[in-house]
Amino acid sequence: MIMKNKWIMALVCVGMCALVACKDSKKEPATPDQPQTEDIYGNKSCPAWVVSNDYDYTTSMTAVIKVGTLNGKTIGESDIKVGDVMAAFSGDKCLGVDTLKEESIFYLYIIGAEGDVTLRYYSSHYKNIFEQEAAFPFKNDDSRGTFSDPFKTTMVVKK
Amino acid sequence: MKNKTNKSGLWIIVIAAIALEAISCTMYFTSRSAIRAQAEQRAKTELRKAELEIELHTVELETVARALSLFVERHLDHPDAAYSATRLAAASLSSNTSLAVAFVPDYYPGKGTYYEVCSSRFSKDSIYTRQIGSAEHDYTQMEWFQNGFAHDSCWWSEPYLDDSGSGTFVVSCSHPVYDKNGKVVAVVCVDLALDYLKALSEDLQVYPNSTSTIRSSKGRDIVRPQDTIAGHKYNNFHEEIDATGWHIEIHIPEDELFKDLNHIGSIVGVLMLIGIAMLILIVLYAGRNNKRLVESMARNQSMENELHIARSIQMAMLPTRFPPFPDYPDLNAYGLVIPAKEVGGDLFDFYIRESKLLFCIGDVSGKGVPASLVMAMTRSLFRSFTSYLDSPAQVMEQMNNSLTGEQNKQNMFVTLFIGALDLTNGKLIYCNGGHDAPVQIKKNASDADILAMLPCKANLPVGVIADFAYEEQEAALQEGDTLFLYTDGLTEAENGAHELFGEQKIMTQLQASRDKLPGAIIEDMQAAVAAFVGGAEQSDDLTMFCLRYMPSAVRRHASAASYQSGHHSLVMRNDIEQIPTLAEWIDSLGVPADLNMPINLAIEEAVSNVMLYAYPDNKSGQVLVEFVKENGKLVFTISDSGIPFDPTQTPEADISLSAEERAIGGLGIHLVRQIMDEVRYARKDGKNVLTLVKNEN
Repeated sequence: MIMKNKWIMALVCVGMCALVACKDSKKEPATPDQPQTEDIYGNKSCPAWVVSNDYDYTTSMTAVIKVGTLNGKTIGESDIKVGDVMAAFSGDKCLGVDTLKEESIFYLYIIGAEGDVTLRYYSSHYKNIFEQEAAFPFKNDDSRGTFSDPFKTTMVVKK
Repeated sequence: MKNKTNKSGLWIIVIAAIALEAISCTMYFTSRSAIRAQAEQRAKTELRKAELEIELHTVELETVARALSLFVERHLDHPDAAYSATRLAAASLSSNTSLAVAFVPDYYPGKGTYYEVCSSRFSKDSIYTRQIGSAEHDYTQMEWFQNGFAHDSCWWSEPYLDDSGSGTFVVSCSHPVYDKNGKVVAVVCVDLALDYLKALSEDLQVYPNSTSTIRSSKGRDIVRPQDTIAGHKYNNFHEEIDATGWHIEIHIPEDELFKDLNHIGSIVGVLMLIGIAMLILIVLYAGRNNKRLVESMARNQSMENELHIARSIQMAMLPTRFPPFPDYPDLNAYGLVIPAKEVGGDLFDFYIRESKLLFCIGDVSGKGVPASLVMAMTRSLFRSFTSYLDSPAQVMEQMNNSLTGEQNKQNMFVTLFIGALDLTNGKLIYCNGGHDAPVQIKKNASDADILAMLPCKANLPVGVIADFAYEEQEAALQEGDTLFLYTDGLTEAENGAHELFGEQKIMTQLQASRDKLPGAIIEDMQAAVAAFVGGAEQSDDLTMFCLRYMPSAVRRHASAASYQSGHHSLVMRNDIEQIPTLAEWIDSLGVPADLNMPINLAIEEAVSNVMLYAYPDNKSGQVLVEFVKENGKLVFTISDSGIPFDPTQTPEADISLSAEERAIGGLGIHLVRQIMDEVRYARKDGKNVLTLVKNEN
């Protein structure tokens, strides 16, 4: 009789282990962002963006920028690190640079340019360079974003 | 009495006024506290709202100041970045104001010693940016720059006139700008126009005339109310603004705060005064009425006393001594008048003139004082005219003529029966003027004929028509015959069921009492009437007169010898004034001289006792005193129909004590016991019978 009970107990234990195993196997479904997340990361070092000396002193604009999404991923405060760099380009000509010191907001002073302005961002967290998908036109004395309502970027890894 | 009433009224007014005042004061101060608490609550709520609004605004300015300093800090290598930065900052604000970045002197050699870039926002799309630093505008001397330089966070200045920016009074939020080495190289300044705070302060109006003040952390007025009134008392409520260290304060004028309460208080005060005035009027009115009532009571009392005197006078006019004639001891007569009011209009009278008993009984129309006056006049006229006229008809005519005409404007009349009985032969001549016919109780007649109404002719009552010819009639009384006369108060005695006593009951009662003496007959009749009417109020005067004719007895008994063997009786009303009559009666009994005085004393004491206690509440009644000599014993019997009262049960008076120490009462019966040899009491047939015996030897 005792032997029979031991067998039943063993069967119950095996059944429970099987159920737990099945449950764990459903815990981590494949996310559609996973390939993109893998693309965010790179192994680039911080670029030495320097404002070109060849600029027009008479015109300028400002931008108050907050990083919005990188490769479609919403970026949190923890992803923004001191030392991250945001720069404004007109083609390959750097018009303004700001290196993050304490807050997660970039204050860009963009010196005179013509045509559209493209933002580039180096993330020390992802060790990668990102570029604003849509450029904005340069406009003297204008500002992209304000202190109370910073401009949120939508960036992708720069090819 | 008036003073007492006024004093009581004054006390009532004072107590009422104090009570009203206390209630009003309690209500007033309780309401005042409640209103103040409510105002404080309301003010605090408004202050918190204002504090929140100011904090939101100042926090926004501080945020912009911090952001601007960061912007400038990161672009120090671009001197012109200050222009774009201040412009950006001005665009970032939600309200119009000025802000600036002022660098330490000579920071940018190319920009001169004083370099301060200022942007003034006039609207969202209108921002004016310029460099305002100069030797004339030495910002380094300004409080905002110096303090901004000295502090590493936002700092608010005291109010000052911004002569280079907006041109208005402002307070400024300063924030330092550091270079890469952590050295302060510039100060950011964002202005807050006092107009904004002033408008906010004006919106902070909890009550119509309330004002508000905003003070800096140093106690200087940032916004000061312009219309506070000196000398007026204000209730102040304040709140601290945490973000800036300022104080915001609401001033509510006390007049305004308690305006409604004071208004209601005034109304209540006026109502109170009206109430007290009405109370005074009521008390005065009540006092006056009370005075009238007291005077009326005094008048009534006086009238009552006068009526009492009038009653005594009226009763004194009627015969009071029974038996009335010591010389005719067996001519027994007894009469009784019971007025419905204090005085009445019934009368009876009799006296003997020339062996003739002249008697009358009458009833004046109406009751009370008028009737009593006519009764007195009638009795006087009877005495006057019978003093020389023998004919009852003639007497009646004379009286009639006297009572009619000018002297009887009230048209009062008298029903009257006048009789003249010849005591020698029993011949009765009588005249009846509208009165009830007397009843003759015959001694020697068959049972059916014992009682007979005397036939009476229909003469008019006296006082109706002058010169009326009255007719008289004759009747013969035999020895032992009794004549019972009465007024309509007897026949018309009414019980609770409004039934009348009537002639039939008179006859029945007379039949039952026919062998008794006149006094006893009347006493029985009175008892029968009392039993019939029960507790009903007496509605009319009641008079009875009864006489018994005993000529043989007159002849048989000599007055001096009557004591030896006779039975003697005396009927008295329960009137203490009749005591002298009792003394005369005892004197007439011829008791031994040595016993006369003490017996007189004992009998008077016993009879007085009965008169005082047997008939309470001034109830009318009779006291019958009888005397008989039996086997050498003098026996006195005192009977009354009053309430049961046994004087022998009265405790012996302790004569060893002084008069002050001794209890009231008991001395009289003590005296009686000392004098008489035997004192007995019995209650027989509803009567108190007290027997006093004295041995002759």
